[in-house]
Parts: sequence; C-alpha cells; structure tokens
Amino acid sequence: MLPRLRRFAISLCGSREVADDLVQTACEKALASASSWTPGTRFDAWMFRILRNAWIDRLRRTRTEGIVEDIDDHAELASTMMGADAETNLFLKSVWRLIGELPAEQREVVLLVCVEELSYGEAAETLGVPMGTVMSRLARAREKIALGAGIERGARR
Amino acid sequence: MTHPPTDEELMAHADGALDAKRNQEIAALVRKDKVLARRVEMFRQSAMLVKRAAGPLADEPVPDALRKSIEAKISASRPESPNVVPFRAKPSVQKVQRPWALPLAASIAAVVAGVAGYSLRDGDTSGPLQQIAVGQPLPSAFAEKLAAAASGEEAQLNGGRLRIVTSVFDRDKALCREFEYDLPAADTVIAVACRTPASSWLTKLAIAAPASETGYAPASSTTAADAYFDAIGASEPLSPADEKAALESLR
Repeated sequence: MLPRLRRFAISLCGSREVADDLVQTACEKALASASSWTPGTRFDAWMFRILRNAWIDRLRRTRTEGIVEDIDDHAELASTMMGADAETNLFLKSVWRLIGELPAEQREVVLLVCVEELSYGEAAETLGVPMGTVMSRLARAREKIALGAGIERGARR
Repeated sequence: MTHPPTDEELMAHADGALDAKRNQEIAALVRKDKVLARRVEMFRQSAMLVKRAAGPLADEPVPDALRKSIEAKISASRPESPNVVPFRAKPSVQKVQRPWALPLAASIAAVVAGVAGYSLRDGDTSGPLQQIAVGQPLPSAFAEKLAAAASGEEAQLNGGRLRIVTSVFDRDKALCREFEYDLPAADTVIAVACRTPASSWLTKLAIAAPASETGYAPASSTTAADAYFDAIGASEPLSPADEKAALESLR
C-alpha cells in the first residue's frame, strides 16, 4: 500500500520530496481518523482520498502564498524516471510531462483510473464528484495525452 | 435504431465499463465505422501510456526515512501500557464504535507500513501469545490442524481449545485462516495465519480478547479479523466446498 500511495503522490505533485511529505501527512490523518473507515469498503480508495485532499490543501496554500504551481516539477522528475531502452524512455518521459501539464482535476482522475485501477464509480467516490464528471474529465485527459504524444489527431465527438 | 455513442461511451467501451447491452450496440457501430474505431483505439492507447509512464513508480523502494517516520507515528498511536488492551465485547456491532478504533487503526497502520502483522500485546512472554506470535510461524501442532481441519471444527491442542473460524485468500492468493485459541483462565486469542510457499503458517494478526462465561470469545470480537481482511484486500470467506478444495491442494 505504501508504494502505491507514494506513486499516487509523486504523480500528482511531480516531486519526490513533496510526495513523501504528502504521504506522511496522509498517514497521520489516517491514523487519527481510523474509526471513519468502514470495514467492507475499499481501504486503498479511502487512503487515496485522504492523500488527494492533503494535496489539494497544499495546492491552495502554495497558491495563496504566491508560489506558482510548478509544471516543471514533472519535467525535472522525468529525467530521473527509470525506463527500458533509450527510445522508450524518452517517449514515456514525454508522457509523464504531459501528465504534469494536465489541469489538476484531470490529472487526479487519470491517475486514479488508469494507474491505480479504480473503477469510474470508485474514483467518483474518492473525489466526491458524480461519475459523469469523472468520465468527462477522464476522456479529456486521455485525449490531451494522445494529442500531445502524437498518437491521435482527430477531433472530439 | 440505436443512438450514436458519446465520447465517454467510446471510452467506457475501451475500458470494458459499459453494460452488456450498450457495449454490444457500440461494438457493432465501431465495427462499421473506422473513425469510431480509431477513437476507441486512442482511448486504449492513452490509458496504456499513462500506466506505463507512471506505473513503475510503485516498484521504487520506499525511502528509509519515510518508512521509519511512519513506523514511529504508528508506535506513537499505540497504548503506553504493556498490558493487554482488552476488547470490549459489544452486543451488536452496527457501525464502528470507539472501542474498535484501536484494532482498526492497528490493521490500517499495519497495512500502510507494510508491517507483516500487528499484535496488541507486545513483549508478552507467557500465555497463548507466546505460541501465536505475529511474524512467526505457528508451532507444528497448530500448523497441522490449519492444514487439514474445516472451518467450524474444534480441537484440543496444548491444553487449550482451537477453533477454526474461516478461510480466505489474500491478494497473492495465499490461503489464510482465522482461528481462536482458548486456554483455560487466560484470554482467548483471535488470530489470522497465512500459508507460505515454504508450507509453514505465518501469523499475521493476533489479538487477545476476554473470554465470556462459556469460554467462547464473543462473536463481535471477530470484527477485528474482518477489518484486517478488508485492509489487506482479502477475498470473501471460502464456501465449505472451496475450502475443502483449497486444503486438499495443500498436500
């Protein structure tokens, strides 16, 4: 669970240092509110929700403090990502940068569904939005990535 | 006449998330229309790319500093007293009550930290928890029973009574069994042990519960084991038939 939590955090904020901070905060909050988790429901979705909310809190704080949310964080981190051969490496790094360029609300959806493998419904519950909202943000996110990665040039329906 | 698919429906079709009827309708439309087919393919490919780009991050080792800091937080949330924190038996458990907060936090903490298991009583040097120690393989007398007896069966073991409660599979498809062990004049232990590839049974969870007059731990005290199973993403309890098959396959 801890590696998955860390992966979600790094993918959201684009920085390993900030991610580790977020994971710690999320674990503190989880321990403090352990009785709010209902046995029989998905534990990982519950933890992702806590972490995501901690990330949103941080975004709000850094914005009001006048610190620009760094798209470049993802770009910098891209150079440290492991990959297979050099060509695949470059390509995946560019995909990673595209993830970082997505608006926050699209990024969180595409990570929950395509990386952490939550269903649309589970992602909707985690984010506290209707499933239709999840689906439309997810579709926009994937289209952007496809266009940016050069695998699609079509217009949306 | 079926209505044309929205972009979101094409995506759901690519993800296998549509209901059977609409999925069939769209599949038929996609077969006849290259533009639709390419759109579906775009959704498939973009998901695959995202997964490949970010997926491997979970394979990175968790930094020591982070792991240690989280383990420290978990320790800080444990009770100070070396004595057992008793389960308070509740007549019915409709939702999570205050007395359950610690066992649940323990399960959650154990899963978050990737700790092999969690025991409410550390440093217990006597009594049943000496035999049923988290992170240790069960003694062979217990192991033999766990490998053969059906859930619901009881056996006398080392002066106490063993009762097997249920069987599940964990996320790695290892067989895990919940059982109770009751020594006279001692707390009942509720435990979970999982079968390892090396054919031993590793204790994952061990909780001491106050025995009632009948000597059985109250039914509500198995809530902690349920919480542990949920936290580790275990399967539903095995039916008697499935359990029998699982035990047979151990030989």
